[in-house]
Amino acid sequence: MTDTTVAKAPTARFRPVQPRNAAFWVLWVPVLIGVYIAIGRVSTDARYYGTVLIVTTVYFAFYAALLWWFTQRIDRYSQLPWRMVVTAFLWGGFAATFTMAIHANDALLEIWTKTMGQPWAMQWSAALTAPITEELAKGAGLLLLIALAGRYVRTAFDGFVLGAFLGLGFQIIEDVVYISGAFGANFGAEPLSAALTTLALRSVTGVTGHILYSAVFCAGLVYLLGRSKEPRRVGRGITLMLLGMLLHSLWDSGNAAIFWALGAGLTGVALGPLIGMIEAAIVVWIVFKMTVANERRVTREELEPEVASGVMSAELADAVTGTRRDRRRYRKDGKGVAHHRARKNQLEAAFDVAAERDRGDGQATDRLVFARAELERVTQRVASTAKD
Amino acid sequence: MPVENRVWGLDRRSLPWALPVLGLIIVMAWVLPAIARAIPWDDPVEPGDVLFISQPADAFRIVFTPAVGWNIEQGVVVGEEPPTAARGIDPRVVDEGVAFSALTKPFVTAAGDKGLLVRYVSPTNDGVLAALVLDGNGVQVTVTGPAEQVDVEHAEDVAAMLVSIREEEVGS
Repeated sequence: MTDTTVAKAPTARFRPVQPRNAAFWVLWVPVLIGVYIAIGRVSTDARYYGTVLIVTTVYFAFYAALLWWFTQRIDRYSQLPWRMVVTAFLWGGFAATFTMAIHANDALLEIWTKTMGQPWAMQWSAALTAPITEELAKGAGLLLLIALAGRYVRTAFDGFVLGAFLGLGFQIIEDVVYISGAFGANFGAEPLSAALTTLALRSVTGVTGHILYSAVFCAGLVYLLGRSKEPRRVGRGITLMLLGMLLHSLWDSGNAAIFWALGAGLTGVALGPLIGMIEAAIVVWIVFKMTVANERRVTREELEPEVASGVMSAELADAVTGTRRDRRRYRKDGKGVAHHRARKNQLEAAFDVAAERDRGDGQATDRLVFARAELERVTQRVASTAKD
Repeated sequence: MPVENRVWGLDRRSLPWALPVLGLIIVMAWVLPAIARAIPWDDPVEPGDVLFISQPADAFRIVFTPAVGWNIEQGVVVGEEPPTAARGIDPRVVDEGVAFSALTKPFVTAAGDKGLLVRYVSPTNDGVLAALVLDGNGVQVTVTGPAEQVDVEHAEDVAAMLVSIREEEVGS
């Protein structure tokens, strides 16, 4: 390894296989059942719509990668183990969808129709079905992840991020199902254009869809449960969980409740999706701000020993656990391109120290020792490039 | 795992997390569907009821008059439509195991002509009925056959034939 190489933070370990843990069975058996059901659905289509299916699969792989990158950027302060994140994705994509929600949705729609009558069901069942069943199904995944690796779920922010991945899995797999439906809708006549219309529609709305609802719901679930670094706050927890469902509900019903209340009728319905996206974006921004503040505080506390032993300055620790603006200010301090680049590397190296502390639970592991050495090396570079 | 925490080879401490989830799965996958099946349909057609098939435009709608006494399992009666939901629901009325349903889906041929297409399903046969108007001449298409053949094995051929319907100048 040459001295210009910067050590990249290896993420912490998460053991998906724990046969002694009841959560292991309750997590993976439903996922496998879901995969089995999903394969059955897709292969039927593949026989005659193979080409279209391949096109959409490639499209979604791209879409998933994009969202994956975006969601990873949010989880900056103490990254969750990637295996855990993948597990969340699989639960959301296969267990929550095919093993749980589809059965419950069909059943609940039928119950609403039979008991409340057709017109009532058409107006309200969308708002009172999927938002309840799907948020519960996705949220259940968080309980299992806590049972498998509770030490990584310390704050409501961790719940927020895991919720996003549970929702991402759900969103992508649900999209594939919707598109299979679109193939069949016209009995093969123009399957490509039908599929592409659905695709375009759902990719635009997907960003404010399941990912955001379950991020809000799961942040609430962590507040409700209370974790090691997040004191229990029942009221806030239940409020956020209901808010996640409400956003979902407003979306599914095209904000029908609002238009109904305003007496706007059918003319207003066209605006429903737009309003739904705006509502979701605002709520998620508020919840993100609410949860990330504590996450930053916790990470800053954990870095205190590093500051005390002189591995990093208090200023650097503040920047690492600060906002994007704080980091930018730290990066741009002083003069010269080389100096700015050195400061950027110093921030990355400090992130690595934080990640290794997190991973090794504060123990002086080999990796933490190495990360500290890297930080020291880069810090010297910062000093040597400084010109006043 | 400490011995005092063992239950059937599992860690007792994982149960408070796993069991509620297991319960939720059972409720969603079995209990709710069972409740739904147990509730009978009770929405008989009253004299004078007219059901929506669809409402393609504000100005007109496609409707039919269901037989009195049949159960409306799906569909909206004209005059009882929900305030803001779309009326384009495919109606289905059932009486003693006989189901009558209608649905419309527009389709566009390769030549750009629009038509309407209806699928139907019966215990022995599946099929497609399609109709379109080319320059004032009505064209009716009927596809019928065993379910497996129509749905799976011949779907691509059927679709290709459907969208290939067109007007051509003689001699072209």
